[in-house]
Amino acid sequence: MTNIAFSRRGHSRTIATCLGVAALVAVAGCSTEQEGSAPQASAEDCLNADEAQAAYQSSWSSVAEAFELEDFQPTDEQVCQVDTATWKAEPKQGDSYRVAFAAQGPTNSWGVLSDEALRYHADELGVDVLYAAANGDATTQVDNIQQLASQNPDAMVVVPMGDGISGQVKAAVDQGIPVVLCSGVLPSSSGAVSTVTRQYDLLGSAYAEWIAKKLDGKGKVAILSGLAGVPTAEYQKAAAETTFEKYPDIEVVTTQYTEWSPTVAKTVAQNLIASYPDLDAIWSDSGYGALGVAQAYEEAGKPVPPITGDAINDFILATDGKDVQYALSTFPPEMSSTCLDTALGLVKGEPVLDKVYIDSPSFTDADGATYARKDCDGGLLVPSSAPEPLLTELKMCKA
Amino acid sequence: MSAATVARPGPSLSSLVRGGGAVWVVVAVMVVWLSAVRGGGFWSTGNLAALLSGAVVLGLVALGQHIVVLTGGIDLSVGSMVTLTSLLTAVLINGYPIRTVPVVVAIVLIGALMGGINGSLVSIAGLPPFIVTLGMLYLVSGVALTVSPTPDGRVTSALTGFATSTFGPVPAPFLVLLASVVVIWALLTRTAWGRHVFAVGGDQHAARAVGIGTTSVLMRAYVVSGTLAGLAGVLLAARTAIGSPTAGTGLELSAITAVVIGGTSLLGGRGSLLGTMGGVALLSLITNSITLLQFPSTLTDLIRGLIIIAAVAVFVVKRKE
Repeated sequence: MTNIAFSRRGHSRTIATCLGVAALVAVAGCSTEQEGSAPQASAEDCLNADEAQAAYQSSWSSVAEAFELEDFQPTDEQVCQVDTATWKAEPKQGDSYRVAFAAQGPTNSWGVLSDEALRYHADELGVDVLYAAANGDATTQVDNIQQLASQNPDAMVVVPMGDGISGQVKAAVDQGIPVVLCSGVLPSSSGAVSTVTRQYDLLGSAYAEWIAKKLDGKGKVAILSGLAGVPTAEYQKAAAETTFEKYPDIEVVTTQYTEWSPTVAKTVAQNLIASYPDLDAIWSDSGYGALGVAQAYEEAGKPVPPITGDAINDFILATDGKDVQYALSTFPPEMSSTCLDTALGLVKGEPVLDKVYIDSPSFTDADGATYARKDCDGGLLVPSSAPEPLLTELKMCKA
Repeated sequence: MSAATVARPGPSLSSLVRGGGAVWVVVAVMVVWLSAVRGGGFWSTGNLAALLSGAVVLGLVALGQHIVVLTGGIDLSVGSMVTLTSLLTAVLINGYPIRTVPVVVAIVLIGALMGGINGSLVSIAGLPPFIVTLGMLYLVSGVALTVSPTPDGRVTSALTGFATSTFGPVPAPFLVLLASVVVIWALLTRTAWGRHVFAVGGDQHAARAVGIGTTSVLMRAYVVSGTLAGLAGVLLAARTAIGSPTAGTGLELSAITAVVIGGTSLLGGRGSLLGTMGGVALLSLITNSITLLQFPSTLTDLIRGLIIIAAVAVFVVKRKE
């Protein structure tokens, strides 16, 4: 009897709770007045717009040229010069500037080189660096940014681990610290003063356009993205999907995640070979993914379909001399040194753009061999503009 | 009596471990050390606010984990619950001020519902907590990625304002944690259910034999854990301003770490809230000190691992004594 009574009471509570939640969600959904987004700069407010816009468009045209894409247009983007008078200031402590660096952390070779390139450049410039690593986690980075801001640096460089850090970036900017986003983007509501990155849209859509051109707009394609839910992966994938939608005869047969690991990618590719033996091309956002795919097809004794990815040295070396068609570009970790320059430009009152889109080499299998570095680690993104002494010091390349 | 009082030794290490005081000794040592090494930097208002803010979400989740572990169970799904509730908070509010209060209430209730599902499967169906909550971890993570694979939604300025407001060095969300600690302490020490939690965790069969409704006790423990995860999700969304499908990843392990180094037995029936909060304080201090002292970030996990092993080793040895 006690059990029955408990059960009935439990059911009643559950039903009441469900109804309550449903009612609250319904009330929430009926509201219509939304708080405004951060205002976008109008064309009239945009300083030095023409020059800034030209710099933006050149990053797209260089990829179009490398991949021989005839009609590859940049996405709409307004690039302006920042009014640095707002941020110009003398060092807050001592004679040299202190720049806080909220980094991804040394979770992979990209993260190591990103960290070390900024430190190396800071040493060259005589700038002090306050460092905090998120180890790839956005929640940790929220704490990092707050703690770094509490030490009142002159400026802050943030490698965003996800849009979830926007609130904390806004808090730092409101505290009077100019924040430069590095190797990633955040919504304009974050208030970041400048963003230095390689564009996700550019890479995602350029790879897709190259595949469409290879297939003459007709065929079966698999999408291999990095990590589910991680903006770096999701935004590139979204750009690719949008591009493929323009080609009605291209069918995206499956979308899988490789966790940017050749091992996982190899397993995924083995399943692809079994499930889609007539696959015409593979869109991959990473060289590690492409490497795993190439290994799986090779072991299965099948030709590797045309594939894309970032220019990991390992992939180029592994496919050297083989009949593999690929298109590669880079998301260079050493752009962190440009991020530092941008942050210093702000506090020194020098001309700085609100969006600095990094242009890095893109190439296909026709030129791949010229970029291979047999003297360097397989994880190196090539060609690397990081200083050779740094690459040697990090044991990424032989002296 | 006088003689007995004189002869009685001071608090032994085992009683310190059992009462949850041992971890606070370590916390105190760390505070003294950080004060000596980076006095001004450590005690600055900004750093204290960062330290306390960083402890809020972990503290709430660890509170729930503490209760579940006391019953002899474990809740591996709290991290994914925080992820989902944080994402839903931002997606459902999406910048509409009038939605703030109903969504916050609904999200806390959704947390309670998810806890209720865990509790039902553990207490009524009799499934092992480890398996149930592991399954729930994947299920809820999958739901979060289905809701949105990319960061989405945004909370209102009222919520972000609350998350960033401070009373001196004390952030407002930390007061929510303090209030939650008081409520959970009262529930555990001043109610029959609280006593039954210890009894069920100590020996479930014996507890049932003396007439304790173990089903109800277990169910409520998981509901409380889910509710606190929901509240943590709301506060995380308030702090980050938008929803992310990966926001709470790994929180379950940090929460279990805090509970274990606080001296609570993973076998259930024994542990103190003071110790668990000490565990939260210690983990937050470790994270804080890594940045404050500019240590290599790779040391965070290494230090955390060493502390867990050391704490468990001390606890097991002392329990045998």
